[in-house]
Amino acid sequence: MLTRRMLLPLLAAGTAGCSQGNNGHLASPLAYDSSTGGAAGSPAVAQGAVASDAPPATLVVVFQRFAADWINMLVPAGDSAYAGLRPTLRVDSPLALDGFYGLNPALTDLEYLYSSGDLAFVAATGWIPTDSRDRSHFYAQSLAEAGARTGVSSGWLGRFLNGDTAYNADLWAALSAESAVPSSLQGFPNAIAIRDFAAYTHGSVMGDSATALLESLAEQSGDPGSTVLRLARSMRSVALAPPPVSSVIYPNSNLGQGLKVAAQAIHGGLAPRVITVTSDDDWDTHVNQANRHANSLPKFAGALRAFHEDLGPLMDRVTVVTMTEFGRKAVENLGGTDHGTGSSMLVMGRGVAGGQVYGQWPGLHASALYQGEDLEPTTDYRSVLGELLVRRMGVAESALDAIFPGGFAGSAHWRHFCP
Amino acid sequence: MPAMQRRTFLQAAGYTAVYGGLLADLARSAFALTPAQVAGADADVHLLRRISFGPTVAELARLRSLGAAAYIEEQLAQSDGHTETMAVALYPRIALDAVGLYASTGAGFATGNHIADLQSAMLYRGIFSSAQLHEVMVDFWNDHFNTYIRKNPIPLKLDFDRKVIRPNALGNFKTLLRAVVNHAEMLHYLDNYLNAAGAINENYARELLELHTLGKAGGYTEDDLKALARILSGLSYQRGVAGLEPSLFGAVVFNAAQHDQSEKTFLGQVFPEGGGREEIDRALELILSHPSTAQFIATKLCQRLVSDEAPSALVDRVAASFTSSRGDIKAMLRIILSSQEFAGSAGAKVKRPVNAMVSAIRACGINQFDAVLNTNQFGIALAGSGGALFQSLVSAGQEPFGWVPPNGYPDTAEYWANTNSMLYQQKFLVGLIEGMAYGRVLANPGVLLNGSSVAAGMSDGAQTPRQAVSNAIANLLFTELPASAVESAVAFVAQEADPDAAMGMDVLEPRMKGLVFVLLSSPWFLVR
Repeated sequence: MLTRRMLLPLLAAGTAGCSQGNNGHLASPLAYDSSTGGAAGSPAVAQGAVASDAPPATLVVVFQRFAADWINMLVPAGDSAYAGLRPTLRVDSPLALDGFYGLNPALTDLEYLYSSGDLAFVAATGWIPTDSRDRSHFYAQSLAEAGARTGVSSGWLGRFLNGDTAYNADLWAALSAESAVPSSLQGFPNAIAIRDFAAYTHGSVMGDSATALLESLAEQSGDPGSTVLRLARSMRSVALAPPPVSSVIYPNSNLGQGLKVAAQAIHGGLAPRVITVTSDDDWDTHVNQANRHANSLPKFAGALRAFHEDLGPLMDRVTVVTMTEFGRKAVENLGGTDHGTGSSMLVMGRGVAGGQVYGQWPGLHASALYQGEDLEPTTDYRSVLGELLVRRMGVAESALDAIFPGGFAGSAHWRHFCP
Repeated sequence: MPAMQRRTFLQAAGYTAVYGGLLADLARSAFALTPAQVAGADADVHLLRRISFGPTVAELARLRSLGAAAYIEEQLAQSDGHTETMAVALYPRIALDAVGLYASTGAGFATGNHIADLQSAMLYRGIFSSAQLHEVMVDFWNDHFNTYIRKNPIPLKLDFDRKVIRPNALGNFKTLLRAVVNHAEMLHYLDNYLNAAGAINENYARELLELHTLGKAGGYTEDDLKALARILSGLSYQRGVAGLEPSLFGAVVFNAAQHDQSEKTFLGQVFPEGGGREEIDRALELILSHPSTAQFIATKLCQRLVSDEAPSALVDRVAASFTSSRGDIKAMLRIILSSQEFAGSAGAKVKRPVNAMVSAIRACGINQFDAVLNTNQFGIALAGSGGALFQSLVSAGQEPFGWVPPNGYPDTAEYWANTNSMLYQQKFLVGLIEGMAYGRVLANPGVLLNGSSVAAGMSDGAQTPRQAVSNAIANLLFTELPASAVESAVAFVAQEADPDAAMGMDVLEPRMKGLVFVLLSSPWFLVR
């Protein structure tokens, strides 16, 4: 007999006029483990998962492209070496978070979220293995999204999703709320890139029959037919059940727009497991950093706060994490910062024990700096992602090594920001 | 045709019920074609897909009459004075030099029209120029030496495109690189204008090695990079600061006082203490004669023209040509375009959005309207920055000169075969074909060029759905569809009617427009 699970690929293929019980959406009503938010039945999921109609957990991955200077965002105010390294750029009056760290005053929206208990930081993140540290934007981005320097040919999110074949059949399992699909999803064939649900239609007067003909042609050809097919099917899904429009105002930026689309997808019951969003908030600050941060930091923080407000109670099953390809040099170049190594990450959601800065600060004095100039990573970024996958997304810890080969993602390395 | 398939298009929504989905999955796994099969076996069409912004009936005829070798030589030497004259007339700011840009933007207060002019000119040339290979290579080098058009408050990108990229696009790489280094646009974009002794800025040195010459795996070290940053220190340009004589704006200057004069070791060579500007020339010579530069440029050319994974044996031959010809771009292109690897690569690339949309315009014959009607109306309407083409490109993720980071727009299917980019390509096509702007023309077979128009099925006298579909496929795709796909298309147009009986134009036309949209959105058109 057909189970709901088996029906998924068929439903995902488009079901105009075909009511499907749940809530009218095409999203997969995956079985749900209420304790972890994971999909049941997957080899990567913990035993004892309880079937339920609750939607699955969602992981929102924000990539700060082109290397954010976290040293001036999560400011190590208590580090005596900080001010000397930043003669013109230092943040003199950060918003105190604890006895050591403070936030750049342009990040007041993050302070609010931190105080609310839904947001935490992990300081001094990056690659622990030194042979994976690199100061090229492009190489470091592809490495960060691959999740290992060697032995993989796909992205870490691609391997996560491919751990459960159900995701391959779920039209909305992976959503890139940006203009293209990032390489972190490489290897997973079915990601949907979408920037605006309201515009998600070709608009031909021939309507659905043109969409159906496109599907028919695409089915007979290989790539790029698979993308044509995916577009046609997702277009129909949106036409059938348009995700609701929020009244929350987001900053006018690609991050703001991306998080708005992400919130719409979640509100609309599309139930993506993974949503990727790009933050291109002018991070590559080789020159004129102070003015540029004054402009970009409020937008960055404001977008995250708007998303948090928009989702409201749904934040109990949604977790946001930010990453960037490397940090910027501890010492400024008199007005800006060049490419460095260690940075920091932010995690947000009701499943996060917020209001704390996790990790271990290595110090900025000369002898503590990596190669004498960069913040030394003390937490491998993969351990942050690993903790999220296990604690929030229902991945079995034993499955982590397939997602992040090399052994740096397991619980021995966790900072335990997810209770 | 099968009854169920007929129903598909009568009740598009219904066909995806359980059975439809099952059948679709079976069909896909059993009968899906490879990209090479989709692209077809016609070597001439393959060549035009790669060395132009899209085949047209006229270019294909020209290529067939000359033969590939002679056609390639013609393209390597081609210039199009008429299109250039028109581009400057329509978008006059592209002819301004740095001083003119400074003055006419009010020192950077009003740059929107300037930026729009270059963006429009790029699209205009792609649509209309007969020097297609030149325009393809201009596009390639503008990606390779990418700068973001809005970074400099004065849009020196216009001067950079005109003086650095366009004259050297089919010239010599060494000349091209030296021109890039000695232009204010790049010095500003990668911050070298602020790179000074005591405040060394590594941005340009890093990308010059990684993206422009040796490549990431080119064998240089972090110390080489730091040495090059110091070698480049002091290389700046006259900017719009208070008191500056405007006639000097944009001139590249070397400030000896800001040059780091300490001893450096770069790529194994010692640069003794006390050096000056001559260090830059010496460093560029070391970079240009380094085997990694030949290898990297060859790799990038093959990625653009052959396949996303450049064939290594071909790369080696092209790199050898770089070395023996001292950087001659035409010599490298001849090797690539006459290679077995190129011949075997049909369908291995996917069109980027600019290529997809411009090639649709060309395939529809719209690029020929102005010439035939002796008007400018379509060029202006199509290429203008307020127009649907431009706006669609922004949304699809390929605004001309709008890529911010220095690596240039990606050139892989991995990146561009995504639903967002394809969505906006489709929306553009719907507007182009069904929209008000061209509806009059497209509805009026009398002004359509025989054999090149979207509605050629009608102008050729086709009166039945089957004839119209057959003509549209032949005229737009330059290849054949599998019989089952043709049947689907015929069913879409005929619907409840007999596909072999004459159909009234009022019924046929909107359906044919829909079909044209679908064909130009299909894999048969999107493969490159």
